[in-house]
Amino acid sequence: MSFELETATHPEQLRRVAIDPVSRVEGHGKVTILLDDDNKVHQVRLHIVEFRGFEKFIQGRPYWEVPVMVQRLCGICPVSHHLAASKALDMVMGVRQLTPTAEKMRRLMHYGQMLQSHALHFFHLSSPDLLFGFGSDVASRNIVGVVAAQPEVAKKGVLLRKYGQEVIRMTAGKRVHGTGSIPGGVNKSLSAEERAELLKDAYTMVAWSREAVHLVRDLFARNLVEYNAFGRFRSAGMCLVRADGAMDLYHGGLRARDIDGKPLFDHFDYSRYWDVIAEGVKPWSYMKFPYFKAFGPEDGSYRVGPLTRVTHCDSIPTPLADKEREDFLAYDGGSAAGATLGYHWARMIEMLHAAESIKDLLHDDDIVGTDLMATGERQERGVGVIEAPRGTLIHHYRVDENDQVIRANLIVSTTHNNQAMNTAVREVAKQYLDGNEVTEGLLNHIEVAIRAFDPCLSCATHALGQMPLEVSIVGADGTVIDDVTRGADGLVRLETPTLP
Amino acid sequence: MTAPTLIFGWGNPSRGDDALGPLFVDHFAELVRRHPEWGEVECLTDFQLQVEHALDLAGRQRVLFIDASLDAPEPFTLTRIKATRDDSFTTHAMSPQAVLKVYADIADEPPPAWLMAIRGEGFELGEALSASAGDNLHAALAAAAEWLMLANPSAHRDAGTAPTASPPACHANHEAVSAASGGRSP
Repeated sequence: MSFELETATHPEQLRRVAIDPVSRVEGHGKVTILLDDDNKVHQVRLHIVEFRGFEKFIQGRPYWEVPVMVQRLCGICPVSHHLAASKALDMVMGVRQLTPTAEKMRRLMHYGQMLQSHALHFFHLSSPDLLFGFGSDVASRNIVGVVAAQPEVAKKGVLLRKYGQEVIRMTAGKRVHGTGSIPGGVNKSLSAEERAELLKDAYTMVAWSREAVHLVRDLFARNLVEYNAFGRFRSAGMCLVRADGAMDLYHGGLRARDIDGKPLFDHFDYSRYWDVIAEGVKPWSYMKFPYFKAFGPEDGSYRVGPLTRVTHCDSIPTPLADKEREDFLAYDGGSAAGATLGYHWARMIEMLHAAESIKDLLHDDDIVGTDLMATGERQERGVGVIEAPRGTLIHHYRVDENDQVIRANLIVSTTHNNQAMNTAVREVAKQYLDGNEVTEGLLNHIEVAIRAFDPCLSCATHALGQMPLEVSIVGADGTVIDDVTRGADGLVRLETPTLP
Repeated sequence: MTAPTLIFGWGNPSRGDDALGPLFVDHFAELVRRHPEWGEVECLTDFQLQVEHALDLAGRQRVLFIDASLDAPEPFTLTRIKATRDDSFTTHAMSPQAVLKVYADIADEPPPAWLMAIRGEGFELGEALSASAGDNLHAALAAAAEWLMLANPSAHRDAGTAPTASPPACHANHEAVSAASGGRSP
């Protein structure tokens, strides 16, 4: 069995449109669409060329090196891997409770990562679509267009991102390849000077983050019907929550709700995640499809990330973000909370929570403490889970008696969202492409749906000369009918070759 | 005080020849320490170029960007670049020309900038630097020292000598992550 529009009945009779690679998405993503002669959509698939070399890269390494080296798996969210690995290896060291200074330093680092990642995604990767329209002129639908049209918005985006990077630098010890978090604790706390430096702008970051929430709220208000309907579908979800049900991006138990919003499991101990989720495979995709075991591979897909976290938690433990969460859930009878584009709104609420949390932690004297490490009884297995910017991130290691990692399993946020992203692009294809002539503007609608999830495909290889966008419409006999190319100048050209 | 010269190399140190950018920065920083007559030079590195790196351009008199390239002829190319809107701002990784453009739009006229594209061959996770990339890196370092002398004649004059900087040997094996640099010995 497959999902609607996952597999066409007679693909050999259809035209194929490929968006390869998807732009404003990290790594390599590709969408293929099969159309008949009337441009009716028969099949849509998001293919993600997932790199499966994580385990080989990690196996055989001494476990204390792992939190540093896993940062090299991904150039976009290295801090998330740094912290998830550290949490897993805390378990290996038998540490069940970090010192207050260690936990707060890690949280500060994590909120810095959340702030900078969400700022980049909203201000620079998604705001062009939202500010100019999904099918607007591609020449202005980019961050430089945003700079030209709304320079203050773009500048605040840059400075929010920079502030988050500074938080990371001061907590991780380095601008990149940080070493701050280590199994059992941290190797540094903040100096008084660093604390004062970060505090100088902390309140400004809170204010700007709040403005960003209101910006996306206003965009929803102006485009309510379109935003609510765009790629909308019902989905189960999963995230970490604190013991009292509040949002906790660093630690907690797993909470899941089914497609009707009913509790599936709550406060589940993530160290046995395999009891509740499994990973399925499909012959046409390299990336796995995780699912809830209770519902099986066909009905058990779910989504993770900002929208799930904001809608599944009982509260947000910082006041401004919690107020925005309440407004979000109540807006238009709660319609935005179920919309795919609601991810953007939820993401900005989380950015505000991160900014408030940074400000609060900087006022906490534990952040300059000196008790950095805890110890425990050595274990052979460890699981670490955090809520990374894009969703739940799982690191799982087994370590032998020589302290070498002998098994590693990682389930990254984008993998959890694999089925959800496929469903979203199929919904958009049905809504916008079906029966219409394919144009770059229409194809961008597909990309808008994918970008709502902010997928990170963990590439980090970016050698000059890569990253074009090419769309080819190929006839059943393999003949190229149309070519759409986004060139180095950012402009899109549609060329129809002369057929022999 | 902001150093007038910025050297900015990027790449993933654990992805084969993608390490050329950060390795260049490591080696060039060592050259800078050995040649105080070059004046203040700041060497920065990151996984990828992004919008916030526009802020690193403030107060500079010259900038040299360094990246690995699959397209550049061996051993490297050195090109003057200008602020340009291209399609790289549609990705998580921007081109140096686009970073200059962001700076021009949110701040001021960007400083004179060059791009050194060093030829690489393999970019897989866990691979070591290839032998040919090591050779290319060595040549690029020597050329960058010459570039700095030409771009900053006062450094040359202060030293009272012709440029003689010879780059350190570039080792192909950069893969190990030492406990000293990252982790804690048990």
